[in-house]
Amino acid sequence: MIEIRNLDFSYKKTPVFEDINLTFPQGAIYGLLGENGVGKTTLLKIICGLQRPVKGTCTVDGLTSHDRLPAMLQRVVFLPDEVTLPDNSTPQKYVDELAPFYPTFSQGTFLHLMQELEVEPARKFREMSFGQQKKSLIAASLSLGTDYVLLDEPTNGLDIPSKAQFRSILSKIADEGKTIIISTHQVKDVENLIDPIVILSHNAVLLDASVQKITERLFFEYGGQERDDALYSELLPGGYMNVVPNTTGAESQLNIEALFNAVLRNKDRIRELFA
Amino acid sequence: MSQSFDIKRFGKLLRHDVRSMPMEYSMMGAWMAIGFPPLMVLFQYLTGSEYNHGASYRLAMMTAMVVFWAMMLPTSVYANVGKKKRGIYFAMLPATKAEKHLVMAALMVVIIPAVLMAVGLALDTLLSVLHVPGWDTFFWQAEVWQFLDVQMLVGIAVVYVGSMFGMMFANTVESKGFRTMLQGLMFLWFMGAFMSVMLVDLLEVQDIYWYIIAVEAVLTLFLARLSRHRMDRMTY
Repeated sequence: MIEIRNLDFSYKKTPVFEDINLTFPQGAIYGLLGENGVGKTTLLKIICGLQRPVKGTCTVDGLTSHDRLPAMLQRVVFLPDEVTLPDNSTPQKYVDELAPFYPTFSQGTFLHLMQELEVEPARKFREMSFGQQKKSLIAASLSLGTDYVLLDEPTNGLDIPSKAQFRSILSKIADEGKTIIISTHQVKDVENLIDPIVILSHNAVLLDASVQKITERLFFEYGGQERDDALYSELLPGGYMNVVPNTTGAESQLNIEALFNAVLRNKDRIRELFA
Repeated sequence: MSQSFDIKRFGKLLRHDVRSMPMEYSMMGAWMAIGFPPLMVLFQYLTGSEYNHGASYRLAMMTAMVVFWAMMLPTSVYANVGKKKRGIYFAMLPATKAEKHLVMAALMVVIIPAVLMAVGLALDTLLSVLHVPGWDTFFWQAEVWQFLDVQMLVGIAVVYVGSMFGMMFANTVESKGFRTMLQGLMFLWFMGAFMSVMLVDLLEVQDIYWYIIAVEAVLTLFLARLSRHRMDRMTY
């Protein structure tokens, strides 16, 4: 379990988080959403120990992240948005270098994922497109077998079929009890995949709830008129989509983009609804 | 496994660091093997002397060359450790910070210079066996050995180790400019060692070494200051 307690973080004099608390139990795919610059990537870096909190703690299975002890690092893999790869290396060589450090690494899983993502393990990185490099890194990261997988904008650079393959792969990994945290702007790419959803705002966590809880508290109405009591309304082909407080207990289909806008525009109300 | 230091993990990390930079090491070895004899001949030619300067001259040149390569090496092998895109990979490797630093030090300060020197000495011996002009005596017959006392070697080692560490993580604009300056100084040292052996007596070789050690000590302190942030925190 990843636990963040009373955490403060700032870049010099610019505060990023103030007294935030979050818990990521095992076996789910968390979606980490937020506007640009609210600290999504920073939060991932704090979790894997690349940034040190100013105050408070972040632990992974009880181990303090920023100590970066080998036991902790063997449990966590972090795939940043941008990575520099050695041009002359290949995905196979890349995992061969990493594998001795991860007792849970599986060569079979790596080859299976590479095949599923349609990338050749023996092809040099310099001969690959950005998307193919990204897919290689995703396969390499997931084959390490760590309990926690942190992905920063993982679908950037992936083509449409690859995004579907990516979703399918992650679903299987989550079923094995792994915890996956995805930080992304491309909410459409991970819709129906992420659950629970965490939305960050400047210095704080605005929402941390499962999809079930969200749809219990909010109702997503499609194709109607614009409503005065809506937390967010958007004109779509076929009518308005409204996000309103769910007062009747009726079920509805979550729309993450609408949820995101509703949360950002009604911060206090959302806190009340999810308190 | 220990969470502070584990010899097996240290070995894995050492193998990892060697395997991940084959091009850099191959290029350096190739330059040493291919570049050493022609450079020796060239410098002798430039000074207008004949090919008979002896083993002390060759050892001084070889030492200068090895130190020059070894000092430049961390900036290519470990330069990316201080950069965000590649540094994250390095920082996330499941080994302790101490193990990572120790592997760097072992490779850059001990193993690579020793291998380079061995390559140079093997080549020198081969050329001596073949009686190539300028290689009339074997390196172990050099007179310069009598001037290498323990105090001097410790002095060189301390400054050398400091320089290595200083250069590993320095990626600031200032450090890049400084590195260029250092390269210039190393070249002057190279020339100075050569000239001192060629034109004056051997005692002055020792003086040149002490002078270089003093200059390097100042440079090391400056580099260490530049790189302190990365050394202490290694955050990205």
